[in-house]
Amino acid sequence: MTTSDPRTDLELITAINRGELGAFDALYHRHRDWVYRLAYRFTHHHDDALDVLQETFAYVARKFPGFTLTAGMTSFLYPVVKNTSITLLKRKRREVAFDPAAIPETAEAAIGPADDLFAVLAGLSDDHREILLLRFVDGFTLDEIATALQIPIGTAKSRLHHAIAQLREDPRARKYFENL
Amino acid sequence: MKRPVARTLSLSCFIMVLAFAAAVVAHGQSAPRSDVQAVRFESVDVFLDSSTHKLAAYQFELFATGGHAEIVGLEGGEHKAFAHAPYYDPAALQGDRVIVAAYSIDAELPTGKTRVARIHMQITGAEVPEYQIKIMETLGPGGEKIAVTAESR
Amino acid sequence: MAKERDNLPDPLLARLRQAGTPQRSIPAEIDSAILQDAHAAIARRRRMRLFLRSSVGLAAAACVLLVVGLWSFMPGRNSNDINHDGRTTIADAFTLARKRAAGDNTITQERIDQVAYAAVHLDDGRGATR
Repeated sequence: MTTSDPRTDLELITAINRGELGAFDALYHRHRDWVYRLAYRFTHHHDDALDVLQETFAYVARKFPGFTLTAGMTSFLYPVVKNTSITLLKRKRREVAFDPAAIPETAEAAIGPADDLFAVLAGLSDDHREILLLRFVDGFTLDEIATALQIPIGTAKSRLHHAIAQLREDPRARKYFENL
Repeated sequence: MKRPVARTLSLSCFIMVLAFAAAVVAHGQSAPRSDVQAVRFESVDVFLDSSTHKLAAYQFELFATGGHAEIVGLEGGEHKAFAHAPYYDPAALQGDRVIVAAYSIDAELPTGKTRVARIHMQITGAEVPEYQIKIMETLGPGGEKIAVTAESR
Repeated sequence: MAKERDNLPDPLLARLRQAGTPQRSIPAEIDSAILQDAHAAIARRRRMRLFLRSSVGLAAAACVLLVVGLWSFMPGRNSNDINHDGRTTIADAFTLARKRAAGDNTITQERIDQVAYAAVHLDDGRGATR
């Protein structure tokens, strides 16, 4: 089973609830890359991201049978990946406290290679950076953001507005907005 | 020394006294005591008349009024469908009241007037008891209720 | 929503997305391990659920039997009133006898006699009407 399965997430979940294990494969292949990317964003570590990927889908598997999806699949998965990542990082921090270099401690490290843009992003608050990435990298709608972050949609709108404004006002990001 | 006439009179008186005493004793033994009552036995035949209907099951209650009657036994009826002893509560024996019932799944069933049971009674005393029958159930071969009349002799 | 997206120029979006894409891919053995574990977990939970459902079913059946059993032993409950007319008479025994004669082997002669004797019982408060 691959991502070519034409069924919607909801239909796949219904099929898994009925006992069709192949539908789980389709659901996994459909969302695994995004889960891995998200996990990597939180952990900035390939192996850790794979661990998070594994734990996230183990968690999903434990929801069956009887799983009811009340939002989009990515909205459901986002807090799972985030919390799993945070838990993993905390655990690693305890285990390898003697090697702080092994764990990304700064926002810059969690985002990617340093340049002006990432310096700007690193300067944003966690909330603003998170909502910018959700909206523009993951392509979440405001509804999905509100669901994933478990915040009112008005808060999501406001938070996104301020994040963009802060980005626009930063001189280091100005070059990206010059042609607008 | 007594004279022969006097001796004869004394002997006669003695014999008369003995005879009187014997008569009194004999009277006391043979005369019926007023507090002992006569016991007799009789049987009560119970007839049911189902007219043209076939009688497949019945249940009635019989009780005696007046006198002192005790049920001492029951037997079945004249038709072979009800020839066996009917159902009754053994506790009814030595009492004056009994509920009697029987059924038959035979193909041949009685119609018209038939004796369905005979009840043996022990009667004590001179008073003649009367027997009353209360029909509780009479059924045809399909389990349907049928009308019957009851009579006891 | 479109307004905010439009506010980010394409080069910025591309740069952000590039940063969000790890260079390494997910190894096939990780896929296999995840799916194998998931299949096992789902199958195990399905079996557990089936077991629980059947257990609940059995428990419910046991409760029904218990209630029926208690009901049949309740005071005033007359198990000999076969035709449910509120009393026990020879009609009840006759009903059973006819069923038995029709081939119902679940009804024994002892059961018929039991009902018949109940019908003629003097102290049950139902048979006698004097």
